[in-house]
Amino acid sequence: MIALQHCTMVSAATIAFIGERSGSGFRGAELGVIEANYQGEFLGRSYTLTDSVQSDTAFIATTLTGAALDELADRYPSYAVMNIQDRADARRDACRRNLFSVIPSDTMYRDAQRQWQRKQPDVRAEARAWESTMRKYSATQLNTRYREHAGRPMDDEAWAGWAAIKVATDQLAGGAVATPDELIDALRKPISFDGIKGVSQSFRPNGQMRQRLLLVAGNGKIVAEAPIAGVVDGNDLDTLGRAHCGK
Amino acid sequence: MRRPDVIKPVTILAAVLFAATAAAAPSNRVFVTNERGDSVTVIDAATNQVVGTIDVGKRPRGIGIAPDGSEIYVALAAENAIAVIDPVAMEVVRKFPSGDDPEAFAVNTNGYLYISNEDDAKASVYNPADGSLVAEIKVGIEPEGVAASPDGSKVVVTSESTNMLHVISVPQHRIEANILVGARPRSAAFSPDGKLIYATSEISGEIKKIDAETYKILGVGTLGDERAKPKDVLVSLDGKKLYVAGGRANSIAVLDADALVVLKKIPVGERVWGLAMNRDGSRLYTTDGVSHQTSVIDTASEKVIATVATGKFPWGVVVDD
Repeated sequence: MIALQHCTMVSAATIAFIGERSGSGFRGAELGVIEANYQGEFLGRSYTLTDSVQSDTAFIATTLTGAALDELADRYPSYAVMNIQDRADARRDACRRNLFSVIPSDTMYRDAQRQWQRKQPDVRAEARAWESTMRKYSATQLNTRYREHAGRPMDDEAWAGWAAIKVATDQLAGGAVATPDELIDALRKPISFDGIKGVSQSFRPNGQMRQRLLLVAGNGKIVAEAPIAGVVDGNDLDTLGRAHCGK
Repeated sequence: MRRPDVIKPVTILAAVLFAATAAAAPSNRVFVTNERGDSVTVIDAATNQVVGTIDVGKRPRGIGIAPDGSEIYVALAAENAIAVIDPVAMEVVRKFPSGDDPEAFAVNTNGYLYISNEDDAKASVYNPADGSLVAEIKVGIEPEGVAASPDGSKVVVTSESTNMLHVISVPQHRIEANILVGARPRSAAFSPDGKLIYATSEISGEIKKIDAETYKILGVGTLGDERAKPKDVLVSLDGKKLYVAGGRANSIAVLDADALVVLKKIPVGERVWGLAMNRDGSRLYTTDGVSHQTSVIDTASEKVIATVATGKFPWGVVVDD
C-alpha cells in the first residue's frame, strides 16, 4: 500500500474531556471522536477521550462554564481549550489565546433573534445553533449519525460538542501541527471548517467560532438562517455577536 | 454508419438486441436528470431542441454512459436502484438494485459502475449487465464524487465529511492512497492524459491539483467568490483549462489548469451543479437546477449559445456522441 508520505506508524493522542458527561455536549463530542478516528484509520492516527490532561493529550474539550472554565483555560495555557457549553459573552471578551468557544455567545443568539424580528415582526421564531430536523448542507447525514449514536435528536450543545472535536482534529489531520501549543496557533489562523451549516467557519480573535444561526418557528420549521440577507449582509458572519477583544 | 429509424415495437426490440451485441452508433443526444421531475430530458446535440422526456423513476440524480455508448445509467435515489436507458429508443429497458440512496457514480472502462454510498461510508461496484455486486470498498464518511481514470486503472472517491480523496485500484478494488484535501470535497476529475487529478472542495472553495502517481498535492486555487461552492469539475481535452460549476455563484469558472487561477466566469442559470462535455470538447452542458434549464456553452468563445428548458431541478448531465 502506498502510504501517505512517511506516516506508517499509528500516531495516538488523547483528548482530555473535562466537565459533566451526562448532557448532550459530551455525546456530541463522542461522535466527533468516532468520526475523527474514522478519518484517522486512513491516516494512521487515533484519538481516545480521557478525563484529564496527559502527556499525549492534543487538546482539551470541556463542558465547564463560568469561573471554572476560566480557571481551566488559565491552568493549561499551552493547550487549546474548546468551550462547548458556556454562552456568556464574558468568555469571549476576555480573549484568552487558548480558549475557543464553539457554542454561539448570548449576543449572537440575541442578534439572530433581532434580525429575524426586523424581517418578520409578526412571526415568532427562536434562534438556535442547530436544528435536528435540518436537511440542507448534508445536515440530514449528521443528524442521523447523532441520533443513532445518542438515541435522541441533536441539539445546540451536541452540535457544539461534535464541532469542537472536529475542528481541532481537522487541523491535526495534516500532520503539520506537532504540539498542543501549535494547535492553538493553527486554530487562530483563517481556517475553513465545515460545521455542516453550508458556510466556511473559522474563529474570531476573541476565540468565538464564526457560524450561521437558525431561526426555528413554533412548529419546528426553520424559517431563516442568520445572518439574515436583506436585514444585514447575509455573507458576513461577523454581523452576529462581537468580533473584537475587550468590551 | 447510420442506424435506420425504428418506430414499430418489433423493430425497436430488434434494435435493442442489435445494440446489445454490437458497438452502438451514438445517438448524438444530451441526457439530463431532473431530480424532482422524476424524468430525464433528452436534447438533440445538433439542434439543442428537446426531443423527448423519459419517465425514469423516483429522484434521479447521477447519470453516466456505458463505454460503448449502448446504455445510459441513472441513479434513482428514492428507489435504491439504477435505471438503464436505451439512448436511441429513449426508454428504460431495465433497473437493478444499487444499495441505499445512490447519488453519484462513474462508469469505468471495464463497464462497471462505481457508486458512492453516501450514508454507508463505502463505494460499491456493480456490473450493469446483470446487476451483480462486484465489490464494496470502505471509504470515508459521506462519500460523494467518483471519477475513473482514462485508462480505467484507478477510481477516485471523495468523502465529504472526512475531507479526503480515496484512490481505488482496479481491478484489485483496494484503496491505494488516501489524500487529505479541503473541507467537503465534492467532485474529482482526471486530466485526459491521466497524470493529474483535480478535486473541488465545497466549503473551503478550493480546487486542488494532485499528481496521479505520487499523490502529492501540486497546487491549490480558489474561485474567489464567497458564494461559490465548487461542484462538478471537468478538464479540457488539451488539459490546459478547468471548467468548474460554481453552485450559487451561478456561473462556470474557467481556470488555467496549471496555475489554478480563474481566467473567466461564464454566467449561467441559478444553482449550477452538473457539467458535461461533448466528445470533441467544443461544447459544455450545465444543469442550472433552480432555473430548470441546461445552458449550452461554446468552449471556443466561452459563451452560452443556448438554454434548453428541462424538467424540475436538473441535476446531472451526460452526452452520447
